[in-house]
Amino acid sequence: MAHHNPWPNEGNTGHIWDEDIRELDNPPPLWWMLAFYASFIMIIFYALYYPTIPLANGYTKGLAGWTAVKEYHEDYQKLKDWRKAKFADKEEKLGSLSAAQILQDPDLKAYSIATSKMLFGDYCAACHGVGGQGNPNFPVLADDDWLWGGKIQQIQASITNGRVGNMPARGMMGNLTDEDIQNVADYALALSEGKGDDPQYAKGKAVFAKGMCLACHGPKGKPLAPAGAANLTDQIWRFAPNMNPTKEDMRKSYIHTITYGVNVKKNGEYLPGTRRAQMPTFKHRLPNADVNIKRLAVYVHELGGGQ
Amino acid sequence: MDATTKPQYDNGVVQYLSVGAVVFLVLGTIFGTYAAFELAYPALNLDIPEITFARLRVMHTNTVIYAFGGMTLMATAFYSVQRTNGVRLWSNGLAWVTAILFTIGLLAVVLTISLGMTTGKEYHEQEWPLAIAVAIVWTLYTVNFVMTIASRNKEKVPNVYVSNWFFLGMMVAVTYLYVVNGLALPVSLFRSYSLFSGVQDAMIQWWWGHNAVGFFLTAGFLGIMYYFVPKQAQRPIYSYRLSVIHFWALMFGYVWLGAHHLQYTALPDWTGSLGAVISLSMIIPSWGGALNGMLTLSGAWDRLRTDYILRFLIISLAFYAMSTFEGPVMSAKTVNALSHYTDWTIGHVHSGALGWVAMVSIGALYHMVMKLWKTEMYSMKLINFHFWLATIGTVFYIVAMWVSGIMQGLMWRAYDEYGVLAYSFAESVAAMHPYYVMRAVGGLLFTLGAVIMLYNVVMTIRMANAKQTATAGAAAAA
Repeated sequence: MAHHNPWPNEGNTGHIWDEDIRELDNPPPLWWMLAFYASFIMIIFYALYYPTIPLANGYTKGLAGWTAVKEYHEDYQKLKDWRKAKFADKEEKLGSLSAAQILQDPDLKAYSIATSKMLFGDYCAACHGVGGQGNPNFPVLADDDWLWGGKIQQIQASITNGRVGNMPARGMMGNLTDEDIQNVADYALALSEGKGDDPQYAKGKAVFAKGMCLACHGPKGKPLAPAGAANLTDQIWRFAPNMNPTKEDMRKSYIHTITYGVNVKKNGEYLPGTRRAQMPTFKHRLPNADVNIKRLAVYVHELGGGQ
Repeated sequence: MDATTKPQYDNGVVQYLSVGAVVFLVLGTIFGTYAAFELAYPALNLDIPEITFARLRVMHTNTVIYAFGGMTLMATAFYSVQRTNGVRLWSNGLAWVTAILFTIGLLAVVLTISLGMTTGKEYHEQEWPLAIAVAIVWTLYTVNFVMTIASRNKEKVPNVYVSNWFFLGMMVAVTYLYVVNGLALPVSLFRSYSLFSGVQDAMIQWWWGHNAVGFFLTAGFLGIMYYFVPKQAQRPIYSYRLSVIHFWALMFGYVWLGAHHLQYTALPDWTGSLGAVISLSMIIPSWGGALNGMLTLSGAWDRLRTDYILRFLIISLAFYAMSTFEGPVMSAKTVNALSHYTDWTIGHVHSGALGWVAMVSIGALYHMVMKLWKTEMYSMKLINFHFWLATIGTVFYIVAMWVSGIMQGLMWRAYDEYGVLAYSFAESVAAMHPYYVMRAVGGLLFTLGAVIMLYNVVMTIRMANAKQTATAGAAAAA
């Protein structure tokens, strides 16, 4: 039907909607049309170059011979070749020498440390902190206090096989009363301040013997050999609610640990409240584990307190 | 037709949907902003599972895309389909049922996600009972829209206006994409498993995922653009022919893009390449839409100085043109290898979502509020203030994500002098912190704008209602 067109001279198509909506009869801008056609031409060239078109069996492979996996392998090969050219001798030595021997060689030691940072960051830092400074309930690696030993072989063994802590709840026989536990917690705190022999902690000292705490923690609160038990005579805490606990925090923490133990299981399930202390094994987790565990052992050894 | 009688339209349901859209805009941007602050300061999740980032982010995407975006699409479609066809809705009752069910459905979606019920499929997290409900509501919406066009007086309105093509294209595409991606085997009331597995599931998922962007957030909003830009600018559309070409190019092209999300994966190489090249060829068709909208203003550019609503509409087209260039570039293999899995993707999505979708919606919503309540806005100054908050907020957001995204990509592939990766993953996370703060601030500005909009809309409606009561009172007295 013939519309009344109130805008006869603006070059509209003659269609009017909703009283005043209309469209002009302009052609699309020339550059836009050219670019539009160019887009289609580009599709053709791209499809010739890359694998793009599915066929009944398989797909067109493209003139570039490109595949995603090939690109990855080529890139990685380049890197590997570059590393080989520069560091093949060092890497070989890391493979053939023991961790202790690597530690003896200043050049290899420096190389191991320099190439460990990212490995430590991705595999260790989540628990032990970026610089090995530890986290609440996760051991510090940058000091000379070792639960499982600070000799290079011991560190290597810890990384390779992991470590599982254990401590019975309420003493070795499980017979400590709440009062006993409070007393022995006070005694443990006194040990950390060097006041273990003060007569006021005598009750706690007696519980320390009765609960056979000394079997692992040593007669003076210092383990005789590293087997996972904490040294109680310093102020490096195995289980603490935060990085700078107050004395009251630590008293509560000790009472909790002694009451519920560490990794205590009952009928195959962890006892509610028991402390969890477990480092996983890394021999299956790390890439190129044989060399990388030695590398990391040297790195950890040199963080602060290797023995 | 008697020139003095204006056609009557069904406005009540559009009023409801418009206000609903603004409310969901506020809610959705609050979710998003809080989630952004949680990324910068993780303690903010307060150890409450319902508001941890993993759930809050999904609540955010569902609220802004489906609740805000969906309600805006329903409001604008119901509004413009009546006016461009010169008829009332085919069924006003059905439109109300659709609107109410949609509101309840979306609230249920957000609630179930906060309770941890999810299919785990991005942009399709709704579990099967809600997915079915959404599909039904969507169908009701589509039927009503189609039937309204069909019921027009073909003598008076022989041609279907372009905004309706885009709405229709969206409705058809979203229906089949959503349904196919949602095919799943329910095992309980709120747990189901996708019918597809492995790479096929990934492919179907991104076929839908990218088209939630391509059709829901692009085609539909181009429909909004084609109605509201010429209306607000009071200028004719620049080129009818351009609208035809870019419409069909987008309709045929967009459905291919999904695979560009899956380059360098287990998917066969041809799929990623095909997705990438069609993406690259979509730059020009996309620009066709932006161009047609912008050139509509030719001869009326000065109106941008005084018309704040028009500003929203036009800047949305600028962001649209920018993000439809950025996206295809990111799908090119060499760029994708760097950009994928980084914050750059998040920045890209938001330059489209904030800059294009939200801005064009906001412009259309202001326009409709004035028309539907037959009044001026309560405060034009606040609209201008909203405009600047939204624009600066968007720019903050996307610049922060560009920088952090490119930095992430470069840090992840950097080697040191020993040929070992130079940074641990945690170091790249730590390096993001300042940009996460900046992004959260950008989001906060945008949210603030949305709150001001809600205030302005509420005050406008109260003002209009007061005036109406006064007029009615005067009429009764006389």
